[in-house]
Amino acid sequence: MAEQTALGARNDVRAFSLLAGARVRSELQYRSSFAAFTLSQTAITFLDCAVILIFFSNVPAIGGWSRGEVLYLYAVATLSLGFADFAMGSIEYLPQHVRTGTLDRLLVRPAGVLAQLLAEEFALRRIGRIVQATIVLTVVIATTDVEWTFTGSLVAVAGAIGAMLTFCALFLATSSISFWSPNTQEFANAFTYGGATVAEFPTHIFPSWLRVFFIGVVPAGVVVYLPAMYALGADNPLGIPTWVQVLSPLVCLPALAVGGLVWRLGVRHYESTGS
Amino acid sequence: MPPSPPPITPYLAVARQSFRRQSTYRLATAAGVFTNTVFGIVLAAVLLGLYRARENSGRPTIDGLGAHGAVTLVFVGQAMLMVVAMFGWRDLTDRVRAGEIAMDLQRPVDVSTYWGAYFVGSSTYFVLARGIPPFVVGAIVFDLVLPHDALRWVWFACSVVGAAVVASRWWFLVSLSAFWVVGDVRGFLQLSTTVMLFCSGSLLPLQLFPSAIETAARSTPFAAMLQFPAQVLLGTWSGPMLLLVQLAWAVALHLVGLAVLSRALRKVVIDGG
Repeated sequence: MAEQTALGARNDVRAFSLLAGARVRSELQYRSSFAAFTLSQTAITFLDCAVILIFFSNVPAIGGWSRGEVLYLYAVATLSLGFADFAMGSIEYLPQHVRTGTLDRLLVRPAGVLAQLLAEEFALRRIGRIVQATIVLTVVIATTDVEWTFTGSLVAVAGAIGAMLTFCALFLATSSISFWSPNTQEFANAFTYGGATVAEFPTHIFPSWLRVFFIGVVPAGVVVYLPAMYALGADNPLGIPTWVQVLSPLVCLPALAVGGLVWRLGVRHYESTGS
Repeated sequence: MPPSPPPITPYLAVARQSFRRQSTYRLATAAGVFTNTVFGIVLAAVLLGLYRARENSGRPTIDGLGAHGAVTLVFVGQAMLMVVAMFGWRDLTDRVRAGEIAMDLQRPVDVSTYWGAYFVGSSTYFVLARGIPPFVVGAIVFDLVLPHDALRWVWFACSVVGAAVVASRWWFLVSLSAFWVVGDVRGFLQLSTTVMLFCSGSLLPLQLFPSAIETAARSTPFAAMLQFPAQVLLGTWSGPMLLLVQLAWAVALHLVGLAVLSRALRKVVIDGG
């Protein structure tokens, strides 16, 4: 059984790389369009960053967090969203497949449905956001006055990985809702892009009812904020215990479990369009 | 079914059809309202955090904009997003790409006005279904600036119509790029979205910008689509003045659009068989 699963996973990886490779080659055929798209993606995230800089031209700190600390949150949140969008952005086309019944085509092929779906609209141009976030992160780490300890760095790296996986889980869970109602893709944006916007700021500035939602229901308010608080030694007005900060990257595990569950229930629920 | 009365002009008929087309997607509308509301609440909470920090330093307003005004601006912004098609307008580019534009060109109508009517028809639906609900929720959750002066509401309503007209001329112009770009025009639409989001004041009220950037943003047509209408509601911009500005932008963009269209049609090669 375990052997079979391993074989299945290897098969999926192979299917994904073959199909995604073909997509990239076709994408690069339209040069000017590719350039405009990558440029605009980078520009969008650059303007996001400018918004934070403009924000801090009006105040020295928000909720006790300095410009450098908030820029760190911004960079990790953008990196996580960028990674999830790069790896799983094609899942936004799931509603179309469900509506038109073209998911059938993926179901009958001898490879994992999710792997094929993710490869279907895979696009190299989505890397723009990752590139920009990495640049900002590097600059912030280099210029912000933080005592980087060994455990602090470890939690920072674990936090970044945890946040990336959590955003992947958010993409998976919210897009899978389209198995039941294929016209509600915009609903997903409230959690994915909305979650990333929340994660750009220290969670304690939000009113408590909003905080409960973005901690308990959509963990975007935890996975970037808490590891950063530990690593940077930033202000902690809610008095969150140190061990919670250190273990916070593990939130990605239940998030992934829920994402996987919703996806599997969705695939089982799927009935073709009958055409 | 009783026969529907004959439309006054074909343009009115197009606008009506476009309105009805949008109104069939009920669940999509509900999902969109939810998303706009969540974003409005998050942005408002962030701005309130900023204003709390300002109050501690003893200078509570920024360039004349106070906390309530800023939150009001956020919710006007969320309400206007779909009205001005902030996240792109694919209808015309899709028809150019598929070659279906050939059919539109044979109709005895002015293509530019035809698509303008189509755009404004959708916008009208979006004002009612996507604009008012998030604003009402915002007014319940937060303390918005809601003027008692009825005339100000009238000017605000007029400026919303003006914003939709300016946006229709802008997106018509951007969509014409599809005549030149082979393949995917989404990149160009997204580039337009990026600049619009920033300059319209939808990411951050323009009062918070450093003055040089603020001046630049205010002199784009995008400020006339969102920031200025919101300021009319707040009473910091004159309604009649804004209508003049919007008229000037609409006419200017319309004329440029016509010039570009005539160039496009001189070289047009229809895709598809």
